[in-house]
Amino acid sequence: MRIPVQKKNNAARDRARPDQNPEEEIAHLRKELGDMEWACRKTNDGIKILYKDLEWKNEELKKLDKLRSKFVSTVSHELRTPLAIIIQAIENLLAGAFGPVPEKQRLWLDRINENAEHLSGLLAEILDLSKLENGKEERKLERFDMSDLVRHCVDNMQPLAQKKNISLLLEIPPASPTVWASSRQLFQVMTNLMGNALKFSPAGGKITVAFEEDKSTVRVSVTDTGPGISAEDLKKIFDPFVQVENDSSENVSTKGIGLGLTICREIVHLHKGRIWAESEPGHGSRFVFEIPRESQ
Amino acid sequence: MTESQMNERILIIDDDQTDRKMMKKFLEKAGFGIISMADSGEKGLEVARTEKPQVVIVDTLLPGMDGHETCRRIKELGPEDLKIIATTGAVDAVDAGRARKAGADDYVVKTIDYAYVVEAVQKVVKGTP
Repeated sequence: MRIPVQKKNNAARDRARPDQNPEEEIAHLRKELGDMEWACRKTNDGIKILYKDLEWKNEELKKLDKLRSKFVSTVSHELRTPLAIIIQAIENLLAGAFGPVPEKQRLWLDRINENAEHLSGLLAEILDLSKLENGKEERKLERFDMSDLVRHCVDNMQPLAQKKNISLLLEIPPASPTVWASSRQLFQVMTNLMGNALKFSPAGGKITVAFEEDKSTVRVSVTDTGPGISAEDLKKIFDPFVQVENDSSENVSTKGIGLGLTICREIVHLHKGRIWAESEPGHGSRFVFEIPRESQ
Repeated sequence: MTESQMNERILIIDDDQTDRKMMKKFLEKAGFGIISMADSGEKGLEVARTEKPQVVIVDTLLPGMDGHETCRRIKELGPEDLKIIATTGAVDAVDAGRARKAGADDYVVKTIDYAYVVEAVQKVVKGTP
């Protein structure tokens, strides 16, 4: 600390007052030092004020975020009940509970049904996320075989893949490790990732689900041969309500609300893990998540 | 604080309209009643000449004549006991040092909470820096 101060003072002296009597010089240096100390003190005060300000703003943001979360969850709940009644009513109509349904009416009822189901799916996504955000979701941790879960997921998706003429491959090492985690939540992550891969892969494409492990972590990757994601979109793809523009998902019923990956991220973070995506436009995408084998 | 009227003449020099308005509001709430404003160093100098304020609040970062130069010139105008408070949008030790050299009596950061500026004014008015 001492050397730079001296240097600075010397420089100031050499520049401004080459020949000066020592007493005046000392007085001048004292004043310089005083000014510097003043400036430091004022800067320090300023930093304290800015820090306080930041803390205050942070608190306000937290409050707002809580309010938003609560609002979203309340609204979703309120919307869900009437929607369930609508769906039930359509199903009854379609089942002929109130007499035969002419073909033209059936067409429209099917359409209503499809969209109501879609809406219900969106609400479920929003509710899932708000539960995760509010920490309300009960997490049942258990010991289970991760490769079983992955295999189960792949089996579930197989019919859908066949329908779209997409081959679904599974790469699992011979030894199967167990993990301590929430199987229900990880199942959801797997389903979301594979659902996305299926959604964006063209017919004739290929999806590879791979599973790796080491002493402390397990890692699952879902690689597709879809259109890929631009670097710009990659940055925000896990943020809520982000949807990548894509021609292959024009059908309204396959479009989500853009919360699937956010839900994945929340779940993986709850498991103290990490999730990321790698992609190059035109060369498919790879989604990877990694969690510690012993989650808390 | 009770709304006791204080008769110090205050001049605010700031190019930001919101900052000017908010500082005025905060000062008025604190009981300061005679407040003039200017949006540039040049205009501020003009107002200082005619209205002879006792406290000047000047932003260090002004377009045209900067806050430090404005501060120096207003200090030259006098009187001797004229107090100057330099305000800043972002704290910076070099900027603070320059303000001190230009004759500022205090240096305050502007945040949403303009109470810090008011506090500084109250301090210099009382004469306890």
